[in-house]
Amino acid sequence: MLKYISKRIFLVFFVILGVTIVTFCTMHFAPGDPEEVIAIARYGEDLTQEQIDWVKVTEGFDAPVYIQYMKWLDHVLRLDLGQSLVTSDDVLEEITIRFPATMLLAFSSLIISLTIAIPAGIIVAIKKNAIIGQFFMTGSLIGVSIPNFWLGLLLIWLFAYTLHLLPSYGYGGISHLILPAVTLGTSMAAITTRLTRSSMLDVLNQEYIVTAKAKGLDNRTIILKHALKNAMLPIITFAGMQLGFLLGGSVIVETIFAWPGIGKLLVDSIYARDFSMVQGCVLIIGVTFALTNLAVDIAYAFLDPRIRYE
Amino acid sequence: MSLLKIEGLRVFFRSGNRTVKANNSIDLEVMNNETIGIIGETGCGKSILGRAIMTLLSENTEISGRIIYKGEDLLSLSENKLRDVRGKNIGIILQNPAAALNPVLSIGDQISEVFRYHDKMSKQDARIKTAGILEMVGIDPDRMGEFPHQFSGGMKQRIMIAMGMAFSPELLIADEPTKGLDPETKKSIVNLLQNLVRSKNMSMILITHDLDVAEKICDRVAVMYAGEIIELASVNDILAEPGHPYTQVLLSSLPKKGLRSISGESPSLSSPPSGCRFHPRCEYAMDICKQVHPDMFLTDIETEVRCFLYNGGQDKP
Ligand SMILES: Nc1ncnc2c1ncn2[C@@H]1O[C@H](COP(=O)(O)OP(=O)(O)OP(=O)(O)O)[C@@H](O)[C@H]1O
Ligand SMILES: [Mg+2]
Repeated sequence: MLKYISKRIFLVFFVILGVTIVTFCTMHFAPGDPEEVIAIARYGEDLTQEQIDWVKVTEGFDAPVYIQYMKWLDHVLRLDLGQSLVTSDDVLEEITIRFPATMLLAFSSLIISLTIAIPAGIIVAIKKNAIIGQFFMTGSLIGVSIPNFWLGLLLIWLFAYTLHLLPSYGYGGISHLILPAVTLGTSMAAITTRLTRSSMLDVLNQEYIVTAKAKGLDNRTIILKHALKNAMLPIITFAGMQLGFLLGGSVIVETIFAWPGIGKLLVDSIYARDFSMVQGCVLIIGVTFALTNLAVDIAYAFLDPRIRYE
Repeated sequence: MSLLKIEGLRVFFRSGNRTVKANNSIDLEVMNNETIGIIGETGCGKSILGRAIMTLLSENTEISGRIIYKGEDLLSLSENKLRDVRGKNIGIILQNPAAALNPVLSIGDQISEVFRYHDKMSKQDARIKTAGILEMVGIDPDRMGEFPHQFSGGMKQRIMIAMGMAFSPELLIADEPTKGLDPETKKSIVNLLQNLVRSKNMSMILITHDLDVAEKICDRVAVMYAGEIIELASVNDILAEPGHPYTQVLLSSLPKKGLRSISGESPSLSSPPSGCRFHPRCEYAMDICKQVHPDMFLTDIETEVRCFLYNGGQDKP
């Protein structure tokens, strides 16, 4: 187990290193020279060549790329992600302000998703032909097919404009959270339901389920104890991946609901050509994704004794 | 006295327009304290028979006939009553222990849940019982908290035996419990089964490919071919004077008698040969064998054989 975990941590280290390289490259291989972009941000659109060259020298863009990378990495390691080209705010500070909003939305929607998907997936798997099974199966098919932005708008129309029950956008109390979390949660639930179903069907065909039946156990025990524990393994991996994506900020939903998360920050920064902010967001999103996956791998080890006792 | 009586058991799997007749008209009686062996080549329906007895086959299986246990037909018993029979009265050791043990539950949990479920025992009491049973099958009870993958193949087999035996059922169905084990382990598993069955006055249905094992612990042996029982006799008779031509080749194909494989293809269970299922591979095949399906005939030494060579005797009553 310790070996397994240290191996994972070792791997994640390299993944994060890769993330920094990719992040660094987004800046440097993006269209337009970085010095020009920064010069525009500083001096406006009417530029002289001298101003651009000045930026190039002061920002160190004349040095070889790997030296620039090392210098940048050095700053990053000291938690210095630079300043916004637009507002001059500290990038890391801005991200730290935005991140909790994204986290709140991510965990709420994941919880909504799993509370719907796991029971629904089990029911669909064991009641293949009953009406309730068909109902959930159709529901999940609709859920998979509906795009997020459309569902979001539909919910806004229904609960905000027509029924006046919930605010349509913004950040604040729990009432602000409901619509975006439900939008994200239900659309994830649709896929997770299908995964739960196939995972469950697969497990129910295993020989150890026959053993459990041969012991005279009732269906409830067989499904909730013998089958579900095994069926959960792929679901955990999948939910972990979903969480990784969610923590990167769900751009569409955050935009629709004006949710001040990191996804919206990223999009706004791209439109504003705020390169250092974009770079900071990409870096944080990448690192979060890697760390989330690490956490999931470790959680997995606790659930699966075959890994735990390796 | 008779403990279990199988009458006209048929197990069919239907897929599309193909029907796999895995068990076709099986009649078999298991007596108290009797160990009965089931032998036959791979795919002839042995495991299906074992599972049918415990009604463990999946729902879309077509199953008919009667399986009388204590005056009741298991095939028409309610799920509720069946749950009491399973594990408590009839236990089974499935063929492949590596797949038959739940990988994410500790072996102690997998055994003790039987007591907790059927007897509503406390956790502590169930643990004590489980420790006793593990001890009995030769597994260190201290390893109760470990998981299946931490045990060797022979140990997994013992754990399966412990599970099937937990409630000291009256009938134990053991499906190839010695398959894939080295000779030493095999011997100890056979001894273990034999001792358990004797000391607890149990009956056993032992499915096996291994005639040495059958010889050692079985009272009677049923030979299966293409979903049917084609010979039923005491183990000594069958080894000394195999009646059915198939049994004869099966016995002579034993390694110790100089491996002679059975010529011809294994029969298809979805479209078996007409008449006697074995006639295409039989060196004594007569005209009648191709057309008429033989009944069980009694031989001179009072064994039952499904072969027209014994038609001179009287039909099975
Ligand atoms: N669910 C199923 N659907 C269709 N056919 C099946 C199914 N289960 C088993 N069979 C068929 O039934 C036949 C008998 O299978 P069974 O497992 O009883 O064989 P066996 O005699 O135990 O063989 P082995 O010695 O290899 O264990 C096989 O031909 C198999 O292909
Ligand atoms: Mg078998």
